[in-house]
Amino acid sequence: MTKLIGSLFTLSAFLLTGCSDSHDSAAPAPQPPIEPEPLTCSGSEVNPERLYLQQLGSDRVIIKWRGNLDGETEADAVCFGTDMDSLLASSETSATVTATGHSEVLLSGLEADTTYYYSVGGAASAMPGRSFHTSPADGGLPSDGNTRIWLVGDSGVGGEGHPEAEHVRDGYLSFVESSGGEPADLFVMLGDNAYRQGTDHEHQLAVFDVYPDILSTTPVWPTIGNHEMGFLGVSVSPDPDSYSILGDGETGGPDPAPDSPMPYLNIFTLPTDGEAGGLASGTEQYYAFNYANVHIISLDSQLSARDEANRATMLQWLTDDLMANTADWTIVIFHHPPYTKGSHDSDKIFGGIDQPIFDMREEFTPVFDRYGVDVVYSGHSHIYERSYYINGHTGLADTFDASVNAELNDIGMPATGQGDEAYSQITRNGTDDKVVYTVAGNGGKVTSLSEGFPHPAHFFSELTLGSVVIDLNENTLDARFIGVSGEVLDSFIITR
Amino acid sequence: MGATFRVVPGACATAACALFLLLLIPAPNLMAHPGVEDRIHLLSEDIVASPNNQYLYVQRGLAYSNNAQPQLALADIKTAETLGDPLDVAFARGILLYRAGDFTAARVYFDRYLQAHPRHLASLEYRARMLRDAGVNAAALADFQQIFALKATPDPGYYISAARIMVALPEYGIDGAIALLDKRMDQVGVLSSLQRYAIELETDRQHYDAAITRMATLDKALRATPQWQVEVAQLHMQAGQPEQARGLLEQADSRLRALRSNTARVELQRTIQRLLQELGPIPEPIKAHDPEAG
Repeated sequence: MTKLIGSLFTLSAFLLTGCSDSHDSAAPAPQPPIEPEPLTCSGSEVNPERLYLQQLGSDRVIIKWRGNLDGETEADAVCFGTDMDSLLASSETSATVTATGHSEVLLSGLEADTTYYYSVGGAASAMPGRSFHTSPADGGLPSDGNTRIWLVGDSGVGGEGHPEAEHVRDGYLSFVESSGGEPADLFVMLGDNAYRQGTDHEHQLAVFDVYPDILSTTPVWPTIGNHEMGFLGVSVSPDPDSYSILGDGETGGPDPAPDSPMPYLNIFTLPTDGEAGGLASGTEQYYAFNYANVHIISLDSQLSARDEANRATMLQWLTDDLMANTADWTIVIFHHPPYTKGSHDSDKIFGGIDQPIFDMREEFTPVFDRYGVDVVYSGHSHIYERSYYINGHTGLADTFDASVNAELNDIGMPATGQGDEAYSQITRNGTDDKVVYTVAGNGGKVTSLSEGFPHPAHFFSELTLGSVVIDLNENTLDARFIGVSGEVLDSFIITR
Repeated sequence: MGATFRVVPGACATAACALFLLLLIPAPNLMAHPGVEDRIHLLSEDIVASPNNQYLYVQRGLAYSNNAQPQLALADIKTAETLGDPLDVAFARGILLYRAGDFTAARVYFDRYLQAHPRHLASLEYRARMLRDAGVNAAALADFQQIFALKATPDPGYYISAARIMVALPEYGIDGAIALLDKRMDQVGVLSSLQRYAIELETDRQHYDAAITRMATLDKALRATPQWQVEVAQLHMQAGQPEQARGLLEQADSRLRALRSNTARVELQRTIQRLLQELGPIPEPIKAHDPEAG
């Protein structure tokens, strides 16, 4: 009997065991293997003396920096990613160092229209203000539907210890805050970015010390002004190797070869091979790039423009670039304005110093007309001047004829570009053949007027500090002149 | 901050307004570049403080020259020559003479300076351009080639200048010019400005197939344009290849219709129609002989 009970007990135990499943806590189900947490970067954040973004595109950006404000070792790498608090070790990218001590990191293979965070020094998380947003894929609109561009001209007064550029900057920021908070996608500088001689030190004072929060999040796209060539702005040489300054010491001297003695060319890393869209130019002195549905061209009216053969080569490149361009909007920037009666006079060459004004007007504006450029921005003249929607004017001011050269309204007067006189990209001629020219050399100083002011091609002129904000979406280009209090002082619209 | 002054069309009809405008114009500055006076003033102050500083006189001389004041410029350069080694002033003297159009005299000074400083790029560039402009081709070419050897990124226009010179020199000719352009493009990739000059040279010597091959190397974005198709079509026509030309012209015509109109495209449309007319109607296919047709 005992044997039978024992057998039954054993059988029961066996049955119970065989019937047991996951509900039986004595035998837990096997767990999936635990993936190790991805390693995050392990460096330390560095606060460089200068930090800026270059050549931002839909899948790439260059992060460039120099110095360390804390006096410690400079950073030699960045980490980046889409999670601000978790920059992965796998993202760590070492910098190359240029002859002028700038560290550069090219990040590629990025996703379009995406926010990335980064740490200079390779920390595991990004500090505020260390981010960038890649551009949409070519021709596409940003996710918010709008591209915003902020332009300043002749803002380099910080190099002379003056604060006006900061006032202009604050005016722009005030405008941004009061108009919905959308910051610029692009920061464009129209030349004379660092008075008075464009030295490296003056760039530090006038550019990197004035716009640090903007430069660390927004790609900067400059053009060459006359003060970028030293000589207190009166060089007529077409060669950057003729860069020359008065004195040294306080303001710094020419940069060492082999890059170039011209600090502008060493500080900025600009496209030469169409890296950000547009055609390869073979030189940083002039270039093009795309952002969303906007094509932007920076011409060199200071150097290449001063030699006939080099100017012709730049013109050929421009023509090809415009020929290949199918963007909705086309913007051209260069320093010397074709039409001005401010502190410079577009009817005078001043012995040759302002010869580029004539050459750009006579040789380049016809190409802008032919190939559908929408707007041209320049600096040089310390004033804000905005033209009508014009074409075909290559002569002196007194040859301008609004009835021939300007888009007219319903009563035969030059249209203003405002309200029901907004411009249409396809003009009354049935084609895209007119351009609005703006002089925005008032980003740091306003000085004087020329004989014959105002230029008859201009609708609006004002001798006051300010900058320009352009908003572009699929169908509208909306340009505004912003004063130092954030007020809109002039505006025009082009529709398509 | 400067005056705030707004202009609205049709304003300023009163004498008072006009007078106000006139008062804003700084009369003494009418003829002078806004920056050069500052530069000359600063240099003059420095010269007063350091009257035997050769460098300051050179700088002020160049400033006067930049402002089209050649007599004052020359006076400063001559003074500079007495304050130190004249060789150190030779570059500046050469610039003044170059700007005055006296290329022969300018060359003497540039040569002297470059003999002492053969790698001084600024001088080389001035002399190269001066010799080019004076038609002293062999010497200009030598200078351009030296620039290319010393400098990583010369202005692309200098390659065009050098290539043009080579075309004019029998020992180089078109072959040499094209080789120079190709060498540069091997270094940096195809540049449309350089390749277009090479295409022009190939076309000039009726090497149309070579020109067409080069057209095919231009940037992808350029090759997608109807303008490119028309240019290649024109080369085919010159090469006696009408059917290839016709096909390209028809494609260009079709592409143009999808693009936003601008003046260049309107003109291109006219060019396409003209070229198609030149080509004439599509020839009838030749029917094969049918022996049973009688």
